[in-house]
Amino acid sequence: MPEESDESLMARYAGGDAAAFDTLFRRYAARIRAFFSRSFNNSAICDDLLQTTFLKLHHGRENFDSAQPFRPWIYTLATRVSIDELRRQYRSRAQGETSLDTLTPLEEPRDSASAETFELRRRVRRALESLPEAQRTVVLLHRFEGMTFSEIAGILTTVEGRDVHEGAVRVRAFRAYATLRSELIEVIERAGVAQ
Amino acid sequence: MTHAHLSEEECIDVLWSAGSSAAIAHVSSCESCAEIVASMKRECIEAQAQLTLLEGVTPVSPALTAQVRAAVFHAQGGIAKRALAGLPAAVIAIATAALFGGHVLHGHRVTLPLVLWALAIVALRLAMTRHAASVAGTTVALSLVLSVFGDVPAGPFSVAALRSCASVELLFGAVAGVTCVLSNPTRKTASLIATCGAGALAAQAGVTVACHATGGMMHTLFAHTLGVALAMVLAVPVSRLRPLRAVGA
Repeated sequence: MPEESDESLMARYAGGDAAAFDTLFRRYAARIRAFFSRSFNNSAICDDLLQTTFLKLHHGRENFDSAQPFRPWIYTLATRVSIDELRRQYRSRAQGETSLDTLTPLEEPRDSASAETFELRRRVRRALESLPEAQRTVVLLHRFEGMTFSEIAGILTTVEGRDVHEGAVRVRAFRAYATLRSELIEVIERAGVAQ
Repeated sequence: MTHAHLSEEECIDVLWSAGSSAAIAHVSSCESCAEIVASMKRECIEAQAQLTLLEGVTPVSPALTAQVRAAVFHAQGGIAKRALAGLPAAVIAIATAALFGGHVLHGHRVTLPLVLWALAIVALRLAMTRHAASVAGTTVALSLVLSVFGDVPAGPFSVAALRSCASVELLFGAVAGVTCVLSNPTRKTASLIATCGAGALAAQAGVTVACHATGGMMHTLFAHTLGVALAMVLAVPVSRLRPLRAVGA
C-alpha cells in the first residue's frame, strides 16, 4: 500500500485527526531539528525551535492548502522560526548581553582523534554563520534539504514578505558558496595537499 | 563584475543549469565565458564539499517527542483544557506538600509524601509551558528569598529552619534560583524551573495549611502569604531579565 502523502495527512490533521500529526512529526521532526542544528550549536535551543515549529504548524493548520506541497510549507515555518531566533540572539548581543547558549554546545570532541574533525566542523559552522541571513537560508535549504531554487524562492517570498525571484535565489546561492569557499580556503587547500 | 560577453547573472544561471538557450550556446562557443562558469562551478563544488561535515540527522528522542506532543495537546485545548490538564498535578502537589509540611513539622516519616512529590514533579514537568515556567521559576526564586530571610528567626540553615518551611523551599527554590540565573529559560531549563517553582510554591501552600492547622503560628501564615503575593507580582518583570553575562565575554 502506498504511503499516505504529507498533504493528505496535513488535511486530515486540519480536520481534527490527531493521529495524522504523529505521522507528520515522525517524518519531519529529525530533519527539521537537523536544519536548526546547523544554525544553532545548542541542543536545548534546537529542541525549543522544533517545538515552536510544530506549534506553528498546529496554529496554522487551517491555512494549509492541501493542493500545495507540504514540505516547502513546513520549511517556511522552520525558516521563520530560525530567523526569529537569530534576530533575538542578535538583539541580545547588540544589547551587550552574552547568551549562555554558546556555553552548552551541541557537540563536543570525545577523543583526540575526533578533535580535528570537531575543529573542522567548528570552522565550517563559523563560516556558515558569517554569511548574511538571506544567503545562509538559501544554502541550508539548497545544500542540506535538497530544495530546488523555485521552492526556495517560494519560501523566501513568504518569509521575507516580498517577491523573491528564482534568479535572485540562484545569485544568492552562488555568492554564498563563493564566500564560504574563500572563508574556508585554508581548509580546502590543506585537504588538497593531504590528498 | 560584468563580463564583456555574458553578465554575472547570466553566468550564474548557466552555472545552475538555468541559462537561456542563447546563453548556453554562447558559453559553449566562448572560451572566456566558459572559463568563468567553470571557475564558478569549482568554487561551489569546493564549498559544498566542506559542508558535508555538517550533514547528518539525529533521531528525535522519545522525551522530546513527548514534550512536543504535550505542547501541541495544550495548544489544542484552549485555556480550560490546559487548566484541567494541570489540575491533577496541582492537586497532587498541594496535597503532598501539605502532607510533607505536616510530617516535617511533627517529625513523622516523609517517604510517602516524597514519592507523591516525585509523581507531582513529573506531572508538572509535562503540564507547564515555557513562558509559564519561567514565571513560576522566578516566583519561587523570589519567594525563597522572602521566606528564608523574612520568616525564619533562627536563620536559614539552622536545624529548626530545616525542619520547618524552609526545608522544602530551600531545596527546590535554590535549584530554581540557580537555574534562573545560569541559563536562558529554554524549554528544558524552563521545565526544570517550572518543576522547582511549582513544587516550592505548592510546598509553601502546604506548609501554610499545616501551620494553620497546628494553630498559634499565624505569623508564619502571614509571612508565607505575603511572600508568595510579592513574589508573584515581581515575577513577571524579573522573568524577562536576561541571564548574567558569561565570564570573560
